[in-house]
Amino acid sequence: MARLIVLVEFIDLWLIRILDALVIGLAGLLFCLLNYAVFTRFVLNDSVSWSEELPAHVLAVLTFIGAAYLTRTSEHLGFDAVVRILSPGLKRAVMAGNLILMAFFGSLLAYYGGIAAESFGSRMLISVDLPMALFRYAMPVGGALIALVSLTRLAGLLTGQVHPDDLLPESDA
Amino acid sequence: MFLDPGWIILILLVVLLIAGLPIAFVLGVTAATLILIDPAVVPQIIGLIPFGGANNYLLVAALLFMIAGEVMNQGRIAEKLIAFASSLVGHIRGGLAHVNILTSLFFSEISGTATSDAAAIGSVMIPQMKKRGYPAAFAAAVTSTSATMAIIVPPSLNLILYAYVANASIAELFAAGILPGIMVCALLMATAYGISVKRGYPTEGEFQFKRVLETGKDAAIPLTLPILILVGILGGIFTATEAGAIAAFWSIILAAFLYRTIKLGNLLDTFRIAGKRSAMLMFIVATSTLLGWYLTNQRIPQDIAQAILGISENYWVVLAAINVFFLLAGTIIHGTPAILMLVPIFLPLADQLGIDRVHFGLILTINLGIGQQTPPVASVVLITCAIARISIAKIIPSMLAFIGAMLVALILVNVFPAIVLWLPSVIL
Repeated sequence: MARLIVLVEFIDLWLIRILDALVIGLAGLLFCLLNYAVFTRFVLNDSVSWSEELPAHVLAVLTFIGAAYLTRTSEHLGFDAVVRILSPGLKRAVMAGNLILMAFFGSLLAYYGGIAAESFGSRMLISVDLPMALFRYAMPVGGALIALVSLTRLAGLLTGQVHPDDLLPESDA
Repeated sequence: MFLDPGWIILILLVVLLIAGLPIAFVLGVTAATLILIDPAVVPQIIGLIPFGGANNYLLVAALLFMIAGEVMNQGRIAEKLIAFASSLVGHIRGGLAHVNILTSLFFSEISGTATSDAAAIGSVMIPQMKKRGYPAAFAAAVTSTSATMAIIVPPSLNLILYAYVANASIAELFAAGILPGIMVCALLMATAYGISVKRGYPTEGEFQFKRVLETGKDAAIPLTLPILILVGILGGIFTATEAGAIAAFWSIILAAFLYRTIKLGNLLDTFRIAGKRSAMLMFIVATSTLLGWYLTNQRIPQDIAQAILGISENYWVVLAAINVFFLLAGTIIHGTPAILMLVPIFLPLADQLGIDRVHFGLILTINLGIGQQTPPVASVVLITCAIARISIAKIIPSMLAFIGAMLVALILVNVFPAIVLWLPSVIL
């Protein structure tokens, strides 16, 4: 059991590091893409073809990868005023229910998102030679990570490793 | 189905929200449940619609303005704006309160979010106000309410989001937000003046034109940013997303190279913060698109519109009811999800009543701004309370007069649509 906990903690640490790097990288990439597009349009007077399609797809990747990250850090926006005043036992039960629902929705995104991504097969973006699946798979990957993180935290909650207050949603944005 | 889908949606939304499930999941689980139990709907839609919602060029602007606001915040640009505002209005009774409000208006035109505004201005102004003898609750109340201007004036992220949901012109919405923003600023300053005279708050010396010129020189460079954004978007030179890119780039140039107030490590932090906030916003957009699709598929917004019009068809009665509902919604739901949840439901009603979509957007935005000045959802108030080191309970009495001023602005915007629609009609 102790070995399993160490392994889970190790994976969790690396998952956070990877997701953090991805979120910074994707936000930085969007910043660079858009500024390059502005530069080519207004300075070089020769607009790039992908100026709208590619950033929009990168934003979609950021959305689902970021959603998994925020699930791990409990930073999704929510309304916590009622849950905060519940008794510890009831709070634990409600948070367990929430984690099950999050895992359920993450699984749906993973499953149906996977089917959708597969259906795009070898189709390419219209404006640039990149496969659509590259971006479309962000949704099933993000969904699977949401489900995985939620189930891991559920196990932690039920075994007393995770405190219910650590799972409360972010009430500020 | 054993129960009308509209009722199932309402029950699920309320129960899951109260249970503390994150809002994006509340919307997603509600939509997915309905889709899975409705035999008339193909469940594969769950794999398509959310991606379509997140794959959005216009909303890249939100991320870029977040980067700009965060860089300006961490780069201490607010201090230059405060000095300039101080030279303009510091001589009025209750000088620092006016400086706080006017700086908020300046910073609003850079940040786009009330929380950035409150953090940037509050961290400088609240300690200064306390030092000059203003009560902490008053200083926090001024900062919190004036930060609301950030969601009314361009480049308001709420207006960008509304433009996307309501399929309205972002240029018209940005132009429409300018006069209401200035009006809110004037009303807040008038309120602060009345309170300051009554309580004998100090002034900040005499008005000196020389000081205006000196501080104006320092503030001129940061203030080029909102001018650039406004002229560019309203003039049709660039899109809101391109304006966001320019704003983010220009803010980094100013803070990292001209003023040298941030370093590379801070830049990574700003990308992290903006990336996470953007993902938070966009995941709500993605799941609300799924719910929105189901609502539209079932024609639920049209049914709600008909039901409300069945109670009364009087324009003013319905408009008043909408305002009360938005205000209440604003107190319990954050601005982003509120826009994503309420606009698809109420827009058909607004269309039937003949309310211009730009006008409706500003009515919604101001309502949500006021609603968010009261708990339980009061992120801006929480920030200012944390800076002022007081409890929410202590700040509320000081906020009432300022909330009253904002309600006056809301009524004026409702009754006189020209306040919103005149400027876009002139410049666009």
